[in-house]
Amino acid sequence: MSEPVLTVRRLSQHFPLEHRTLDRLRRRPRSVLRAVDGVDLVVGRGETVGLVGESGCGKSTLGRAIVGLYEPTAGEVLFGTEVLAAKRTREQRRHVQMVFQDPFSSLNPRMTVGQILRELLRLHRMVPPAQVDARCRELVHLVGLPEHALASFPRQFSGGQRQRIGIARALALEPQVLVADEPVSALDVSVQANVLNLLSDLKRDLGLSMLFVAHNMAVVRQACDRVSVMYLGRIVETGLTDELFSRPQHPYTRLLLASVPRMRPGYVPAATVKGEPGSPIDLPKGCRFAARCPVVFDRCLVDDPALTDAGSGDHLAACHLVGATSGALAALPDKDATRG
Amino acid sequence: MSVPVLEVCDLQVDVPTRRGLLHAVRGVSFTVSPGEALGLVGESGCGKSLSLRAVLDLLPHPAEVVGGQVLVDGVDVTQLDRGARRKAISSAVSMVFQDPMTALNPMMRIGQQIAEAPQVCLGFSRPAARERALELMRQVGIPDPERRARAYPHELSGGLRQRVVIAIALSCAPRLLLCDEPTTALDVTIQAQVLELLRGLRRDTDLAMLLVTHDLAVVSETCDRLAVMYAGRIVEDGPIGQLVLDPQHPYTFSLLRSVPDPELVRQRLLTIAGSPPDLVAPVSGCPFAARCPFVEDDCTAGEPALMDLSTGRHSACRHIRSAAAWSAQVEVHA
Repeated sequence: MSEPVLTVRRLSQHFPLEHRTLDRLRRRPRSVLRAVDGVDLVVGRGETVGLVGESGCGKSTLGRAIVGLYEPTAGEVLFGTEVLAAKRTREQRRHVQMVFQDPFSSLNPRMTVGQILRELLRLHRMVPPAQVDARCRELVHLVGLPEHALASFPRQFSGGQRQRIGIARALALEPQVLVADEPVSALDVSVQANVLNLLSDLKRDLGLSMLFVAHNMAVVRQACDRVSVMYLGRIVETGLTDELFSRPQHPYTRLLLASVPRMRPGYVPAATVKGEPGSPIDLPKGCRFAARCPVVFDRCLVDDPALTDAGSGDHLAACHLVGATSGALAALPDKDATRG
Repeated sequence: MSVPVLEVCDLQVDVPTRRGLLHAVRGVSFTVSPGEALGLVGESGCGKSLSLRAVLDLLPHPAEVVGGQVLVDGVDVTQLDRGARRKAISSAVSMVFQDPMTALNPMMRIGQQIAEAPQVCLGFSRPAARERALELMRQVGIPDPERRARAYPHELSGGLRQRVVIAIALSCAPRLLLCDEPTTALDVTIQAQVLELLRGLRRDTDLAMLLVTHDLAVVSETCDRLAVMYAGRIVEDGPIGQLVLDPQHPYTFSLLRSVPDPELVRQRLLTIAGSPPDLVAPVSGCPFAARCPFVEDDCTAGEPALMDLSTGRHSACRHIRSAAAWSAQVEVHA
């Protein structure tokens, strides 16, 4: 791995819920939603790291906390070796920028694309005032839009074009790290490919590092160098993309991969995950996946597993069975197992 | 062959807009035989959802069927009056909606919602309808049905809500299930559970299915046949295996190559340049010509009709080549 450009250390993001009167009368503490609960993550220079998981696993919250949209409950975010405090300076904010999921609600409908970009360039003094317009034109070219886009309003564009505008806005501040939160999941398939290709071009041409938050495993496999899988606020497995997809170790990752629909007529998934993700409000004492895990055993219910070495290339997994000699994990479906 | 459960002939749907009439569905024909599953795929705005809703007589205002026939069990329902039409349709066909939160009544316990149709349409007594609801809930895999029957939709998770919607759709024992993006709003693991449920229903009950989605992988796991829609028309249809492995229309080919595959990493995804044609203006020539990577001179002369190919396949392309030849050509351009 190249030198780390973004490091997340033991980051937690908790949201206290409303203290209900009944709880108050019974002197019960206020309940807390633990969206992100002690996550470590490193993004190397020029690297794209994927963050996958089901809705409610905390992947978007983690992304937003990294950009500085939330004040973390615990832990820290480092840019290079510099700690980014909760209150960031303008310069620190420039380093890490975000592309939002919904290209319809994340752009101001009353500003033209030119106004959106000019405002940013002026506020952050990115270029001398005389060059602002030229830089705007450069930015729309960079994301593959025509120059006259600058005079248009967001509503005049299609979904894919709007996502390009969102990317141009993030790039206006010349960030080192781009956090892309589900950048293609609101788009049509043929447009998805366009935006994915654009992101990979930008990464190559500008040397960007990226944190790519998504729920679509196929998209992640296409776009990322390394992948971390999240479940209920924790990273349960992390590794190089090829390694993780071909030799998943955590039972959750295995079942997640087995659940992905294949473009293979007649393919029937070997097994599906039973049940649904638990609640990040009442977290279990032991392993968070225990309630749905097909190979759960007594230790899982009391002992929360930590990330341990699970293979080559920084492959880590948080499961008691990883590295164990017992054959319990072997009973799980392999990702290529097919039936019928 | 037996009488198809559903036969749609030359269906046309217009939507009046401020700019003029939008011809959203321009002559779509397909059939679904008993026990068969047909997938209808395409991008947003290609007319797939409108075609589905036209079948059920559920078109959103102001869209309107302006031509064609819809035959349910061989009876042309477009010729019947409103009441008879609804009766004919609802006795054979029911629908699973995309968003279970808006498809369910938030003020009604789910047991009641499932029991409603058997009471109204099949004349069940209240206790009998209640029993039927519990039975349906067990069938679609809702754990602890007695307790869950008393829950309101907001108390259930997305996956369970979608199971409730499926239970309602099954409540009058339909022979054809229309599914409009049934898993798009769900997580991957829950999607896999719901697809498993749909496959199980087909295996056990000889239910026919018409699945509308934009996800080719979902279709290829669930359906027997596939119809690809573009700009209000079907541009290719055929058995799913052949269509996925050897597409005979450049649009199908491009669509297949633009989707990331979880089992295969490509250097680069194929993109489809531009956007679909504006269907307010009359279409001249092949509607895909402007975006087609393999366009030739005569493609703009007259709109090609769906042509018969071998073994139940159809394509609306004049210049069919093998997928290998198309691949090679794309690689040269890349």
